[in-house]
Amino acid sequence: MVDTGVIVASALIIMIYSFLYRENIVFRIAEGAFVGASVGRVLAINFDTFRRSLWAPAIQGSYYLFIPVLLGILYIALFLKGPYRWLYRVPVSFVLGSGLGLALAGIIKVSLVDQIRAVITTPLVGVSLYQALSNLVIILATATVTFVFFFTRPHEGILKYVTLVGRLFLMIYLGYQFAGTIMMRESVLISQLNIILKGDGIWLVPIAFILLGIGVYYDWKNGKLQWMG
Amino acid sequence: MNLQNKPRKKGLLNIDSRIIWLLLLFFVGIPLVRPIGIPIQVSPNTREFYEILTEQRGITIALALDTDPAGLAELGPQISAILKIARDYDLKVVMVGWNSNSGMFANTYLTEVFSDVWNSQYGINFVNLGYVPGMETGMKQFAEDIWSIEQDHYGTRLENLPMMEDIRTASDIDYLIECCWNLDYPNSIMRQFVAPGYTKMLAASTALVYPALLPFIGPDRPIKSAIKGMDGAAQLELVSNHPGLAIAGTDAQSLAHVLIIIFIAIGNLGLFFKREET
Repeated sequence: MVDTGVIVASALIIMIYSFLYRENIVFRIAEGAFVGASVGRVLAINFDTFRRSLWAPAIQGSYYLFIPVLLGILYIALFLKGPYRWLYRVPVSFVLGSGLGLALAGIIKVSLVDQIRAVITTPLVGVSLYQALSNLVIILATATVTFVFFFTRPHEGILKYVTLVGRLFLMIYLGYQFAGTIMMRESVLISQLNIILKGDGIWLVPIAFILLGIGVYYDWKNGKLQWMG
Repeated sequence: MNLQNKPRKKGLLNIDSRIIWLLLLFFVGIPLVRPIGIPIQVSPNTREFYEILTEQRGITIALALDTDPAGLAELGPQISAILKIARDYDLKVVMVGWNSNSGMFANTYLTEVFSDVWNSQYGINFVNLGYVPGMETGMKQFAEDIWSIEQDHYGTRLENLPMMEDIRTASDIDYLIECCWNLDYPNSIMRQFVAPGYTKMLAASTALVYPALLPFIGPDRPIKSAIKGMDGAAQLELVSNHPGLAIAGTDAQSLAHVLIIIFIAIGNLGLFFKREET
């Protein structure tokens, strides 16, 4: 049995990827469908969350839930002109205050104290040579990168060389991060091709290539085929 | 700028981007149709991740699916592999998330792995609690009192799900596995679940996020172990003996790496010769 869901998904993927050749109407149709579907879904989810988390319990007697609703409505004051515009600051300050309060305690423990303790207690002896070297790199990198962000003294003398090593570690980190970005994009491509090539959507591939060929021929004939170096 | 009359520049630095796309398409597509079978080596982190999950039968894990659709390319195979391990080792699974997509995605993967036993086991071995709004505030509330959400993704009240009888706070969960595609969610989980000592944390992350998570991974650190990207998923499939999409995708990814390295080399050669000319 033909899976229409896979065929529609495959067609939309091919339509979106047609942008790689150049901007075209097919791409814009798929893009419009994506934006419309996304907005519709977000609206539906938000409405459902409002109904389930707030409206249903509130009308059953939990009237205190109307307090956050009131706070939420105050956000609209941002769009007012006149003496009541300041009201939007009430929910903003409430969200900021509670958010910061919630996060701060955890940040100090997880991101600061635990990290410093982990570096201090990293063993250099009593472990395998590979592990000891690996731990030494961690300690060196932590120390030298910290000095890169040490601005109270000019980076001269010994500090110049320390920060140079720190910058090298930072560049290695950024390279690793960039490689991760590439890997993620590759994975997206692989998963999309998996949908097309391993389902009923595979029949759309020759059609797509024929349409691409016609498009290239049309552009060439009309002098629109341009180099995209 | 009128691109119609853009002159064609020659040289290694001006390869038409469409040639690169086409080559990438072939390099990725061909191994997907005809797998090459490039060997996969299981990393220590993935092995530890697997050993933690399989150490004891019947423990309770929570999978937090905090991702947008783009992250599923890597996280999807990871989630499938984790659920298959959970099924093998009778782990109790709580699917939850603080991203509005969580409930829908959880439903997709639970259906994939548990569809044949759904009617007899839903609410007993696995539940989908769906999307919990409020991000960090919602996390704190969930950690303190899971029952505050009152119903699951399908509208069933928690008192009608037998498994939830023993799961009242986050302390009743042995491991929370954060499936993340950006740093906001794991950071908040660490602050609201790990720092107060409610539960232990594992991470299933995209290759993009993994480098930033590394400082937090280790036996004495907030994240006990983590798997990374499609290769992490492939390793988990391999070690758990459930070959799937990730193993097939690893061939394609390896070939794509080769192509990208070739293009990086070509680009740098082009730059080198251009400097020589000037």
